[in-house]
Amino acid sequence: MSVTSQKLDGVLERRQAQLSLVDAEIARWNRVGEVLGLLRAPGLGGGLLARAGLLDTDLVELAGLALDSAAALGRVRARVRRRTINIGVSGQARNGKSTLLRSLSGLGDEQVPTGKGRPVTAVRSRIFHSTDHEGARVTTHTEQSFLDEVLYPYYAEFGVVTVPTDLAEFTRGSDVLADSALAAQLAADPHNGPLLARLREIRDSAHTWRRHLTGAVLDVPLDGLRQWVAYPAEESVDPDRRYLAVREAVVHCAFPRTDTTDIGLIDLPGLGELTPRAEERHIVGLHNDVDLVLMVKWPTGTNALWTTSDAAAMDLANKARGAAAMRDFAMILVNTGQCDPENVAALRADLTERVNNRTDDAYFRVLEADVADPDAVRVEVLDTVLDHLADALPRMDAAVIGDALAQCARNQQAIAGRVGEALDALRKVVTPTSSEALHALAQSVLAELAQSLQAWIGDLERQLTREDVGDGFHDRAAEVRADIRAWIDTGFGEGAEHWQEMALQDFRRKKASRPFAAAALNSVRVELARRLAAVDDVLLARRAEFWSGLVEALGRLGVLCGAERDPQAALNRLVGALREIPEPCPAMVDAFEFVLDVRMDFRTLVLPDVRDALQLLYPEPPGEEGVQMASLLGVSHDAQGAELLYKRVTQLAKQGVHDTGRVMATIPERAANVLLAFAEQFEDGLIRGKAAEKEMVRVVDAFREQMWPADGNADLAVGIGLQRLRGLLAELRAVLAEEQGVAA
Amino acid sequence: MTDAFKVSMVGPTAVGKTTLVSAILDQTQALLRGTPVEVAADEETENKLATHRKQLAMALAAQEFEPHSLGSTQTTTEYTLELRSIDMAELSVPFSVLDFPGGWLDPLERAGSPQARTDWPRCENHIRQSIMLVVPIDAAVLMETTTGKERAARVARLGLTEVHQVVKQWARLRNQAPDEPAVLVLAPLKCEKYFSDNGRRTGYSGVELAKEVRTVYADVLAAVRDEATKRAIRVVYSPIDTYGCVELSEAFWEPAADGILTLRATYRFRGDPPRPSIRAAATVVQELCQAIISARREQEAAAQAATTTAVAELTSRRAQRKGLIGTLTYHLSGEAGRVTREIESGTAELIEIETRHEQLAAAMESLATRARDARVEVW
Repeated sequence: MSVTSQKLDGVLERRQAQLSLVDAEIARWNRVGEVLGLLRAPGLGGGLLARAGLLDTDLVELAGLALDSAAALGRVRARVRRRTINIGVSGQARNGKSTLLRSLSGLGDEQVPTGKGRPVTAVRSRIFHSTDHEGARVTTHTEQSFLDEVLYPYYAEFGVVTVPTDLAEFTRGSDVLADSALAAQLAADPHNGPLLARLREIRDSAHTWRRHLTGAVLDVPLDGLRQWVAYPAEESVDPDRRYLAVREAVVHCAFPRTDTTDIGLIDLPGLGELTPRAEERHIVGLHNDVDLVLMVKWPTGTNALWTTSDAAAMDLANKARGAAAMRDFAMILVNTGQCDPENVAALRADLTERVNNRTDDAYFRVLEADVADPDAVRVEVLDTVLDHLADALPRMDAAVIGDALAQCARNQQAIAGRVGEALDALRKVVTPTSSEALHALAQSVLAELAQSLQAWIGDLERQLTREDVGDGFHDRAAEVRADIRAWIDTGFGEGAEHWQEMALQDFRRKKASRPFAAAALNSVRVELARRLAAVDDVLLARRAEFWSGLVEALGRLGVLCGAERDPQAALNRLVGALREIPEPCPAMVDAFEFVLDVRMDFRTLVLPDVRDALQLLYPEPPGEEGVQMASLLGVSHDAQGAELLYKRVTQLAKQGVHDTGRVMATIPERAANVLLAFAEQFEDGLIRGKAAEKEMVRVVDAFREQMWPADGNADLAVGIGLQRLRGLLAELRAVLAEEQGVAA
Repeated sequence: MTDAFKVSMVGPTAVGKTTLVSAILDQTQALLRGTPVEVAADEETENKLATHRKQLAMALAAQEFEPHSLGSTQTTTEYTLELRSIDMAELSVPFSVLDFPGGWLDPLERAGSPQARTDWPRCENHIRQSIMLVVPIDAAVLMETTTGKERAARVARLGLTEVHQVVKQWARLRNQAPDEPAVLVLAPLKCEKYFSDNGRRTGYSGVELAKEVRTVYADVLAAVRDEATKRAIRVVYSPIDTYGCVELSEAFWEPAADGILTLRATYRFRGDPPRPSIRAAATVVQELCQAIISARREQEAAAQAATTTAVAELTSRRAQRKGLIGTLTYHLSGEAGRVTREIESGTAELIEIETRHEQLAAAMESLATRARDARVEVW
């Protein structure tokens, strides 16, 4: 592999590394846009926004900045997601672009058609070098995408507002095409006349393309590609225009003369073509697909000098290069094939004089080659371009990414500034309370909480010693065990006779009883552990009761739970409210999240002990036990043996159920201890944590209206609205602060 | 046979007392293997044990173990065992173990039972003279409780009230003989499930059982301390695997005719064929030997004097009532052998009798000093 190839591979690897970061940044900006959208939602009302010093137009402007950032990052994404180094081929029609593509790719006329006279390339292919895959993949339009991307642009060019709503209407010819007066007017317009003729061609050939509008992705052999990508021959009576149905064509083939694996050729659409929105499509192609554009110029006859059309084409490239230097992004290729050397010399002089300001290659590097000569193309064009890109791409990438990041930073600063101002304004909305008063309120809340939480903990402590506290659980556990015994008694769900038949068949097949016995014990063991988890409903109910007790003990703070009836949802809502406070309360949030994280299921409490109790059902325990078990599982290979084994496995399974009962019996006490420990830890963190008072002051400051409602529900609604507004602004500020480390 | 060392046994019906005696016999016999001493039951006891063993053998053959099927005693039963010289049967140390219903301590209950009215005087006398009181405990009843109701039923099914009364009474009576030994053996039975030292890791270490015995029998232990004001009573905790090859499989507390829950337990054999592996049963005999030897040492001077007493005096003494001191002297000094042999063959075999007596004494000494089963604790 050459040094150039190594460098290019390095570029692609670095791009891949950036992709996830860029995606995260785009998601972040999208979230910024969403939150700005929520701020405009009807629930908040203009009055509240005004109190924050925000107008709807401000929000629209800020949302525009968010969109702008996302778009800038989108362009970065289009660049870093590429897995190939892409060379775009541009230029006016009839300058040898297709010939150049053929020389570079090794494809022939079937794939990249060329011709004399009128253009023959109807669909621009993207051609990728591949040594392990050869073929073309054609993606067809759906009817809708055909309307949107092919037909409607014509109507837009004509300035016609009423467009056919579907293909049937278009093919009936009942629209603009049928209006002879308008048609005459359009035909008289030198710009639109050819477009109108093209539109009629499309309509008249509908029977050749319409059936292909399936949105399908078709694998087409290379020798059959031409009909999909080339205009039909001039002389066709009923020309096949299926190319119209093609949305995208991608070709993979082995390029004959390159050691660079990841290379792609992009036949750029547009320039000088008789299609609407040609320039727009050209720029989109340049933006999304191309690392470098080659502008092909063939100085034949009257085409020897650099024309305004050529300049316009270069101007498009200039628009698309973004922050990359023009000299890095575009080159001019003079096609010297079948040309009078004088014309070549004239063009060369013209380029130096008018394009490069009298200094060779000052702004655009100029290459010369006979594009029909593959060897010359390789040396003079491909090698030169790749050598150039190996050095230029890192700085181009850095420039493009850096530019986008700078744009995002400006937008971020602008939005964050407005958000900060809005939050400051909101702080002044509520009649400010003196610091002393806030502290006094916070202390009173803490004192109330300490008292009620200690009463709650006292209840939990008493439950540890109450004889009947586990009764509900024991009843449920007894039911579960009875169900399991019933399952055992029905031949482990198989029926006793069927179980024995299966055992017997296995004995006979393997001439041994222990394999079947071992498998049976293993499956019984697994099933027992699974079925015992049915006690979880009682445990989860106990946990809900625990949370319910906590919610009741929250007193004034419980207002933040809203009207939620489910205690878990209520506590989650409270946590959400705490998170929305402009000044953070991490310790309080931690305390509530901690108490919400209490695990009360069978697996957490006793599974390890249950597994121990089920050791009995291991078919091959170590030592003396193993000898005993082997003696129980080794039975005669007949019906009596199967019956005896069934009896023994049943007995062991039932003992397993019984033995786990001892472990299960400990659950109520364990659960009570767990709940008590969680409650004590929670209370300690909430009341006596280092930041307890400081955070309670923030809570009181933020939710004073709710915690001490003065004038009924109206004030409360306003208070909640303000809090919601604060919360959204705080979230916006937090999202803006979560910048990802994309590197330029 | 002359006066035996007396042992009383009190526990609920069907706890497995016959099985316990059988296990004591079997394990002690195993400990005496290779010595010229053996342990044997008298004919009546042997008959009872033979029936029990037959039932057990049938259960083993049928691979179906149901402890209640082995039968249970409803009234008083006396088991007589002896340690004896294998070739001089008359040279022996006999033990008499009396099993009686604890409820008979209640005069009202005795009044309602003709059997009790007949047997009680003998029982009372036996209890008074017992140097050891054995309390067999159904380990499953003790351990297999979950709910409050089950724990309440356990008090009845373990016969705790009766046991408490008997222990209290016995301890009080022992005050009257402060020089004699007094050993209380708390013997949980069918403990296979609650230990992991006899063939299978059951998940229990034995600690749980000991803790439960201490908790549930706390009043009994307190009675021993409180009543034995003039002497010390040795309390031995000996959890016994009476079979070693069966294990509790399931247990259910179910309502019984008397309105109290009762435990229905099912058992399974650990292997095929089941191989018995008794644990800690010999403790009863070991403790008896230790008690007797200790007592004997204290009476050594008197015993020494007894060896020089004239043959005629010996002959007359055979019919005498001896009490524990007499029993000690009579059996452990070799006097019992000499009395029998001298009457029949004169003094010519005295040396041989002395040898046999020393062997018997050595065997008892060996049993007494031999390490107890690792499970056994002295409380």
